[in-house]
Amino acid sequence: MSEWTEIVDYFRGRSMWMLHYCTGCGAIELPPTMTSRWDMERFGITPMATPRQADILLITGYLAIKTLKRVIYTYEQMQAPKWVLGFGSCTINGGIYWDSYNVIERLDKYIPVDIYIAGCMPRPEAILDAFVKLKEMVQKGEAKGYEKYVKNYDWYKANQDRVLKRTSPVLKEIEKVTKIG
Amino acid sequence: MADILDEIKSMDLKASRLGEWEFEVFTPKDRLASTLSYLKSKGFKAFMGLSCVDWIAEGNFELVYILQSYDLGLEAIVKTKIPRQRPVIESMGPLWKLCEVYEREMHEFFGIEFTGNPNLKPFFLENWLDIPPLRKDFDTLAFSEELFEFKEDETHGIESPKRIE
Repeated sequence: MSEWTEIVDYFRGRSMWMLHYCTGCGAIELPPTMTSRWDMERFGITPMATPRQADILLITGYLAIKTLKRVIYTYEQMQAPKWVLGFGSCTINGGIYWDSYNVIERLDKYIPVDIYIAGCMPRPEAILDAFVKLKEMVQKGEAKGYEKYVKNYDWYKANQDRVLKRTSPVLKEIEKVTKIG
Repeated sequence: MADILDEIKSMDLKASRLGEWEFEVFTPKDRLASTLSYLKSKGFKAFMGLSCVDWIAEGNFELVYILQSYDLGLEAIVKTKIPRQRPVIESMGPLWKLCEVYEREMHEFFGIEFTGNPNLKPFFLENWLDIPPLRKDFDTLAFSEELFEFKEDETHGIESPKRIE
């Protein structure tokens, strides 16, 4: 690692643009985080409207299969270096949708997640804590999720296709099951 | 409300009062259209929704049509049962165009056929190949475990990446 990389990483950590993908109820915690009460801009983080100019992808809540597809599009549009924050227990293990037919269980099987924020809902303090942690990781050059995605693209792509491009029914014993009725 | 209930009862239909401004009507499948159009002519012009209950033990789907009358300030709930094995019923699109949207949803989530509805293509689900997901015999937990809870190492013969600690 050259000195230049260290310097670049230092400045990267001090100015990050965040794209918040508000899939679930977690989006309600963002307005207080952004505005004067908690004011995340003092950490150098502001919202950005488009994926192509954003550094952080904040995924706030559960992801249905349909939304997962859009999240992957969004993530792949972003330019490296880019970081993903999984917000709330839904992105960690499905949360209260753990047995739902339509909500994915763990986000980092499909795109690399740098930091998970646990909780349902996480408070704005927890979000700020994650931002500070991410800033430290970026400045030390530790947050390398995007490189992991490129290196292990086969694995991620196979996982994505498994959910998004199904060609046969998931449950095999359908005949047996439908005869109950 | 009492006069409407009496009239419905005189048509050989079961009806009962649920509250101050609400009553329910049970109708056989073949008299659904006439019951609904009768209520519409009585002022229940607003179609509020259609939902479905899966009575798996007795082998029926129960369709629930909710109507409201703004003039009378009343709500009518019309219920009809259709067999689970062959869930076919005529579309109420001619009475309320809006009904076709709800029928499309019921078709997707319960597999009910609405004859006369021209637009029963998939609505919310993408690429759905299993049995309709809101039927009681659809095991969502098994589905979820099979599709989402796969082990990292056994997938596709590709070595999984190290997790970020």
